[in-house]
Amino acid sequence: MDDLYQQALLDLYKNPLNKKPLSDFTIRQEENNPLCGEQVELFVKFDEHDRVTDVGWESEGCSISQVGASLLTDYIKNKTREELKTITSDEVIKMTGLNLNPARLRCLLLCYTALQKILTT
Amino acid sequence: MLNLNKIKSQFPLFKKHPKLHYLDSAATTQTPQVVLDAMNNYYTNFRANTHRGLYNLSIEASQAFQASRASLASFINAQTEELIFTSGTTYGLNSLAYTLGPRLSHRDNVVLTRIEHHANLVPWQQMAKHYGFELRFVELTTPTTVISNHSEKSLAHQTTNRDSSSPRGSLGMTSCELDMESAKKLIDKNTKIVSFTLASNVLGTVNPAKEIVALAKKVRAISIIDAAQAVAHFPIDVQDIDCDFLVFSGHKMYGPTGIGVLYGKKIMLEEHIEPFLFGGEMVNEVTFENATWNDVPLRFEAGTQNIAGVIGLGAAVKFIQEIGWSEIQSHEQSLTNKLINELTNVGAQIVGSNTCHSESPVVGGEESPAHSTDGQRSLVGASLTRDDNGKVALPNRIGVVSFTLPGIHPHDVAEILNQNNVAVRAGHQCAMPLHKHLGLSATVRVSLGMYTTKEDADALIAAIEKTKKVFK
Repeated sequence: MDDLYQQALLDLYKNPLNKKPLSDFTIRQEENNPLCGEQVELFVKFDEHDRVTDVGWESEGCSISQVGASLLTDYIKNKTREELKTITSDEVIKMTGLNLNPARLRCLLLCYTALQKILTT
Repeated sequence: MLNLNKIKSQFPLFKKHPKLHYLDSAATTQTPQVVLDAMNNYYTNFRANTHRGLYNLSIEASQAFQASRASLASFINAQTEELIFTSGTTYGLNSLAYTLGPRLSHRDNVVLTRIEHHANLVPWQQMAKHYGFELRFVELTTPTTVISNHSEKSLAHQTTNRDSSSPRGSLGMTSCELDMESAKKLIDKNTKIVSFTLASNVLGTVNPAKEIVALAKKVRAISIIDAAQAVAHFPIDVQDIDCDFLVFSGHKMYGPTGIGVLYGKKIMLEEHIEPFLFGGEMVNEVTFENATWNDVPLRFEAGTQNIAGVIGLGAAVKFIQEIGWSEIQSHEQSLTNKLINELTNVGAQIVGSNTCHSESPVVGGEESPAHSTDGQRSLVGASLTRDDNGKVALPNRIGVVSFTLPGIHPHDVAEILNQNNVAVRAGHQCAMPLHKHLGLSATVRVSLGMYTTKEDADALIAAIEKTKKVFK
């Protein structure tokens, strides 16, 4: 379980990727974790071909949620909306290499859940 | 002093998990063997439905059930018929909201406080939406500010030298107590219900129940007390408090889950509220067209009850009484002070009052505990303080201590504590509006039971040091 706080992930937590609000975005989605009151805000900019040209997020969550948001937002860059729809939660979990309990899975997948809402609207 | 090893050995879970440091008793307490035995005895030796069988087993089960009711009643100084069994605090509060809410209109208001658990907020919110009454919230004394990180040294200093000459006064900025002036303003002639927690599940604050109930009485409002967090930590006397209703759960007082108590003054139960669940056993006479109700309290206990739960809860009361409040309170108070002190020393920002003491005329007019050389605080007068009528004085707080560690999310703190066998709660503790009100998204909460030891507190502090290293 110490792997949960392995150096690579801690570095990612301290230097998150794409953690910025976008002023120019196509869609913005908030998602809450009622367990801890955390809120993530995901911004996605699509071009005319429905391809992700920019992505940003904001949150003050725990390390796991920050890592999840960093990895996911990096992964979706330059993908089309249709490609995004094929991303499964298991893929996101695999990106971290972590074995998380259900409570922490919710933290990890908070940004992913926001993305799912974007994709269904 | 409590023989802690002996107490801990009464709880089988700690035998199964000898390395566990369980600091989440505010969520649920562990169960002593005597409670398990009592329930097992019912299931194996005299299981039958209560109140209805004419055979010996049923009579025995009914007698055990009623004996538990009598124990519970005496535990809070109520009459036996004032005691209704429920599934827990949430059920009790909901049933009161559902029963009393429809009587209110847009002219009326219900007064709650800023520190309520969701269970004493959401039911009233929903009723307010239906029936148009106003919800009001008693404020906290001061805008609670979490002490800034760099002032921790001076904070530790001030906490131990608390007097009127201190430049920052009496640490009111962290007191997190209800503002009684606000209560006086908010409770007015249109107030029909005042419902509040006796002890906060986040701040640990114990509210001045008698004073609030007196304000409610002045305007003939019904008073309701959520005693879920209080019930295992200090004695409750419903006659002394003079509240109309009081609710609590068994599982937070070393009893089983799924059982709780709704106390109602006899006159309230007989004349002011109607049954909210209908069915067997709560009736007197039934025709195809109509039904009349059984006596109080049976009319409020429709259907087969959680009989094993009731019997287990009765055993839990006996268990607490055999140890005695004096032992429990002095142990928990000194441990709470140790925790607060040591948490502050490792840089944690305590959300709530910084000391734990009994309301008492204390030595030299200084109300904070004395400071001993080993960094631990000892209570001024470890024995229980009683007033002139022999009533037990309320402590200012219970052993529920919420905190944050600067720069580390509470979930991460809890996760690393878990890796070190320290079980705590992290999040908003079912008090999301309070956290927002305090400008916090989440906190870490540690909470004590009678079985909590100094070693548990030490393990917590050591694990926090580790957490700080990981996130350095």
